[in-house]
Order: sequence, then C-alpha cells, then structure tokens
Amino acid sequence: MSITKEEVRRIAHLARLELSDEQLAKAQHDFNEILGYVDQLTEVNVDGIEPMRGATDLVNQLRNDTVTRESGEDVRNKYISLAPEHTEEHIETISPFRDART
Amino acid sequence: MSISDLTIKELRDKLESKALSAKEVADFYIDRITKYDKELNSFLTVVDNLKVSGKGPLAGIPIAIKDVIVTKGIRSTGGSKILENYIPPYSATVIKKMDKAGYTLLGKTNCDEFAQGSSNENSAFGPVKNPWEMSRVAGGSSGGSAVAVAADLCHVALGTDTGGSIRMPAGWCGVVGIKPTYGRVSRYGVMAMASSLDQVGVFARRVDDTREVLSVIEGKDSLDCTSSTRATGDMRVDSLEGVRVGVPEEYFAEGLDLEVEGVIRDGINTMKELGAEVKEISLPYSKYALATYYIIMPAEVSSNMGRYDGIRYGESEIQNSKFKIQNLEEIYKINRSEFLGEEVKRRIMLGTYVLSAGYYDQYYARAQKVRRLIRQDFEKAFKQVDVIAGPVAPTPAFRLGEKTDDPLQMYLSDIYTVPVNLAGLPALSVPAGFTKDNLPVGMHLIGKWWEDNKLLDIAEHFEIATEHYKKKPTL
Repeated sequence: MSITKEEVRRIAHLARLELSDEQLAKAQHDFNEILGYVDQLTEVNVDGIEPMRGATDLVNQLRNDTVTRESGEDVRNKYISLAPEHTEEHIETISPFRDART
Repeated sequence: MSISDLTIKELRDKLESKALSAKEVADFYIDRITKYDKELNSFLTVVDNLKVSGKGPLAGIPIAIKDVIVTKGIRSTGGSKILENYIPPYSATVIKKMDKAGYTLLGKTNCDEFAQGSSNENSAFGPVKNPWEMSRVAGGSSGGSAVAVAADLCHVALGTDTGGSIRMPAGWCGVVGIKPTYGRVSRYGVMAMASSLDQVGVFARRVDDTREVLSVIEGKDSLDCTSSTRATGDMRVDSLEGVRVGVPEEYFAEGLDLEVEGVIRDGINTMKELGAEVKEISLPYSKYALATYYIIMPAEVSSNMGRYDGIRYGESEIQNSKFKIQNLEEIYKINRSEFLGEEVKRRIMLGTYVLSAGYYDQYYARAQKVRRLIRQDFEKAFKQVDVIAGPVAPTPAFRLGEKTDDPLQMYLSDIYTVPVNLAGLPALSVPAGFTKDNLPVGMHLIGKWWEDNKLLDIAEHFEIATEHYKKKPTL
C-alpha cells in the first residue's frame, strides 16, 4: 500500500505541523518505507487475541484531587510566568478564529 | 585507585571515614567534565555550586541525570529546541527520592530529542560521541548518560528506556545499564514519550551501583498510577550454578554482526562454565516486535507530543513579526514546526496516521493484539528459564551520520531491545567483551517480571567472572 502526498499533507495538518515541499516528499518516502515494513503484521493470525492496552495488569487507582502547595511558594505565579505570553493573572494566547489583536 | 573505580559502597565508606570529602569527589568529576566533555558533548547543563552536603545512602555521590527528567530550578531541555530555556518549577519523583538520599546532582545529560532515537544524533544540541572512538555514535537515546559513566564524568547516571534507550548506549559504551520492570519506578516528572513503554533506569560501571540507586528510586508513587507496590524480591542468587539461561534462536538470526555474535556466544559459554544450564529457546513472535513497536510507540508519541505547542511553556514565535499569525491553529503549527526536530515530527505524523479514522483497526488495534502474543512468548519461556541472554544490538556502534538519512535502517538497531518494553520486562546490558577494533559489546540479559534483583545478581556473577569493567576508553 502506498501513501500519497495529499495524505501526508492531511496527516501533517492533523498533527498541527507545516511541511515544506521538500519535507513533504521526504516524509512521503519515509512513510512508505516504514509502513511497508510494519505491514508484515498482516501475516499474524490475531483471531480471538485480547488487545494488550498497557504494560501492567494494574487496575485504575484513585486518589483525592486535592490542592498541594510547596511551602511558602507562589506556585500559581511560577507556572503562569512560564508561558511565553501572559498577564499577571492569565496565560494569553490567540483566538481560535482570528487574531483578536488585529 | 581512582575515585571512579570505587563502588558506591566503597565510596560511602571512604566518605564516612573522612578518607575523602564529598567536595573532593565532586571536584574529581567536574575537572574531568571540563577536560573531556567539550568533545564528548555528554552534558547539556553542568550544575553551578554543587550541593555536596546531603545525608543518606547516596550522600556525596555525584549523579548525572538524563535531560528528559525534570529538575526543579535546573534547566531541563529534553534535548529539544522547544524547551531550550525551560526551567522546571518542580522535580520528578525520582529526583525527590535521590535528594532525600543525599545525592549530588552533577548535571543534565544529552539525549535524543524527547528520548526519540537510537544513536543520540537527534539531539537539538548535537550528537554525543562514543569515548571508545570519537567518530562513532554513543547509542541512544540516553547516550549522554552512558558516555558520562563510560568516560568517568560522573559516578552513576539515570536514563530512560522506551525501546532500548538505556541498554543500547550502555552496550555500545561498555557500561552497565538496566531498565527495570515496567511500574517499578515512577514516571512522574519524566517527559513522556510512549507512556506504556517508558521506564526510568540506571547506568553505572558496576552492577552493584545500579542496585544501590534503584533501591532509592523505586516504589509506588501516588502521582504515577502505573507505578506498583509490588516488591522486586530479595531472593538472592548465590552463584550461576544451576541458573537456567535461555538463548532464543531468533536473537541470533540474519542481520547479526558475526563479531558481535562471537562475543555473545563466548559470554554464554562463560556462564555455562560457571555452572549455568544453557537452553535453546524460541520466541516465535519476536520477529514482529519491531513492527509492533513502530505502531504503538508513535501512536503514544503523537498523543504525548501534543503538549508542546508553545502556549503554556517553551519556545514560541508568538511575538515574531515575521509570522503574520491569524489564529490559534497557526501558532500551534508555527511553534511545532519551528522548534521540534525531524524525527519527532516523523513519529508524531506516523502516530497520527495509524490512529486516524480508517486505519486504526488495520494498524493500532492489530499491533495491540500482536503485543499480547509477544508477551505470551515470554510467559512460556520463563516457565523453562530464569533469564534470557542474547546481544543488545545487532552491530557495534556505527559511525556518526551513517544511518541518519534512512530511518528504517536506524530503527532496525532496536530489534532485540523493543520486545522487552512491549512485554514490560526488566532487562540490562552488561559488558561482554570487545570487537577486534576495540568497540564494546553488551550482553543483553532479560529477567522475569518483578525479578529485577535476581537479574542483577545473575549479571553480577558474570561481571565479576569476566571483569570487563576494568577496561576503560583512552581519552
């Protein structure tokens, strides 16, 4: 099975990535090679096999959803200030529909 | 005898008896980093004003940490441009535990971007070089940690292993590297790559030192619900007498370098001479492990990498007037395209593809079923044997740049290590010898679930009998 340039473009969009034409061609080539390799799984008879969804047999574990605070630290401010654009109170970003600032 | 030749226990004795001070020990390593790391490139950050006053079982032991493990107040890039200036506001659970045990944090080690790579050539900050031959790769993705131990730039180091990222560089650099049973060590504060496969582990020159560090970092953590309360057993293996060693025919098939095969076969013979009972076994589904891995891993990667969008933290082009950014989608695309590397993008897209409508059943759902068959292979094998032995990688370390243009060839380096992560088993690489060109070869030993300590004992008997740890690279 071979993947088209259009499909690679669609996948890049879904993954929120932009590719140049050159990158697109390289991605298409690599995809076809890698997918050609993983296609060997179609040989395996998996009838009646339960999918393995993780590496452990542990069941979901719950804990209380409580606020933790490292003593004397302004954790909130510290996290907000990591954002490339922020006010004192909020992380800022651009509107999903248009740039509200233009 | 040099400081770096001492085990943690010996070093602890010398520190307690004041034959050495923690400052002397730290200075020994800092001096070597200054002297040798410009070329090796194993550290991304070296800590200023080292804290050497800790108390506890790791007091005064200088440890290097793979840069995907976050350290409060100390830059943690994960090998990525997008986190080039990221100073975490919190520490990973393993770091908190080592802090309590008094360790000295020496610095953060280079790695493939977000642990994605087999050769450490995918770091945004340049490749790590192999101290045995500078023109060769260190192995990835925890290459910096492996090299820092191999070149005596730290006493021990932490790494992470998703598909072989501890064992492979350990093998290619001639040190010990263990990936514990999935769930033994908390993943909280470790930049996630593929969450059902990732596990934190340890590099050291000696098996016993990995045991010392694991005993500090292991255990249930309420912040990682995949960490387990299960104990790894204190069953000791006094000798290799009667230990059943399984040798899977599939691990010696086509593609294995003849010299590597020779070294590993010799190593297995040594175990036999020490009393081990060597059995031929078969893991028939292991030939599908790499294909299964290259579906499941990118699927998880594509989801885990979603957080890197440059909105809440990390680098952003939001203020760059070159881009006329109109909406949120555009800033996501611009930040991710500008600051993520080629391999990370490739895996995000592969994962997006195998999870997308119309392809999910064909790829992801099928791979999860084959994953179960791979696990069942091991369940059967461990009814007959105590440990499985084979090569860590099909070749010795290759040359820098040799495989960077051909992702599939690069992926094939992981062929013996990925089955272990898919099954969640503990496994390690212990030095087994050298090729004619003096490149190290690692023996891959795989243990049964939660029998990490037994695995370490078996590896230690091999280590003590062969003494390959005594040979060091000339820098």
